[in-house]
Amino acid sequence: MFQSKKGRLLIGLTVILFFIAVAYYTTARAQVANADEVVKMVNDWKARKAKDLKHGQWVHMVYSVTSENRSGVILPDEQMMPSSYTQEDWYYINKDGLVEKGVFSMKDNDGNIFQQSAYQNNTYFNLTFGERMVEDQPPYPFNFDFGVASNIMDAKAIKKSDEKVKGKSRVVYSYIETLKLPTQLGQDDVIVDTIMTKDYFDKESGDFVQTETIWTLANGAQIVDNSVEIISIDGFPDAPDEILKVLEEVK
Amino acid sequence: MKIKIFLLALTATIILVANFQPALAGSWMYHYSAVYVQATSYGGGGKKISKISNTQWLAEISTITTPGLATVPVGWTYWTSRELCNGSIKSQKIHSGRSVRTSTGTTYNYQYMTTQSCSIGTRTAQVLGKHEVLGSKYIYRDNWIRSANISDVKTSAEDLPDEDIP
Repeated sequence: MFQSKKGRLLIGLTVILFFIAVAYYTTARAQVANADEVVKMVNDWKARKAKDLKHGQWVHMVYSVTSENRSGVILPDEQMMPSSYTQEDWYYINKDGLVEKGVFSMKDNDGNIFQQSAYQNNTYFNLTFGERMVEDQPPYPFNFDFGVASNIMDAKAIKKSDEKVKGKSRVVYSYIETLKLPTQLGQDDVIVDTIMTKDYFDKESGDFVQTETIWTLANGAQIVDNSVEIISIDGFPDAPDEILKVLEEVK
Repeated sequence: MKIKIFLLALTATIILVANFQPALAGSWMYHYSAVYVQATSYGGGGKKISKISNTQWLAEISTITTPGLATVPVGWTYWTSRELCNGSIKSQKIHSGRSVRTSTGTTYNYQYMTTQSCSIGTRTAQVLGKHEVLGSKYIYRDNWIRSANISDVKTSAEDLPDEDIP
């Protein structure tokens, strides 16, 4: 039956494709195992943090954002929004563990607020631009991991490494997304080939401390598109008066 | 012969499965003129938001005549793609205006965007733009915002209600 050249060729092709498929799925299984390791680290960290964060109270979260790309956002004073800043958020967690209201401030290096928004009664209001989001946003879960645990489940070929960052030992999980087509991104329309995501955990405590995305351009150069470093996450019975005043503006 | 067909089908299946990546495309939303802009054609504008991956989303815009009229200039006075976290604007790309005559009576543009840091809460992708169709009977201009929730990494962009800009 398979004595003809065509028949043998077909069998050969099928066998090759079969091995490719086996290799593909074997690798995929290995990735899931690695992803599980990261998810466990994130969940363990969240569980440790959650002990200090009680329902019916406020959570104060501060993190720094740095980027080598311009944000493209023009502020009302016609200045370009800084691409590196400190984000300071206050979230009220209701008795069901959902975020019911909050105030979100972006501050420059001198501590000045350059953009602020607030959430209450299912509505977001941007106080800086005077824009009210008409969407109906019901209270949402307080999931404070920047989407790391979800994103890593889709990652391929996760690599684990040890790095020293600012003199501290970190365990780093990284993975690369190769763009299907040469894609122009950012304000300068640079051509990006791959996007690498790196998630950093403190080696001693296991705490999640940083996440960043790095572009590799067609010319081989690398640009840090977004680097987020957690500064603090703390629980408080009450929010400061100035935060409560901001909330009143949402109505 | 049956085995050959089986092997061919198996080969095709393996190739398809190995290369398939789920599309997370959103849907086009169009607004149209209430009256003819020229002859018996209406003017309209469409916007679309799709999630490409956990790190990227795609903003698309088009302005059309329907049925298509090659003689009518179509375009926009501006369009912008931007991302918000908890109501704050995190990144934005502003595009210049366009007014062109095309053989199909439509014009289109797109922009890939990378997702920004958002600790908790709602990540919203938006396409803003004022569509313009310069018909001889009627000039159609419409300024509105298309929004989609891109918070959930496991699902496609969840379209939100459009918003008119006065």
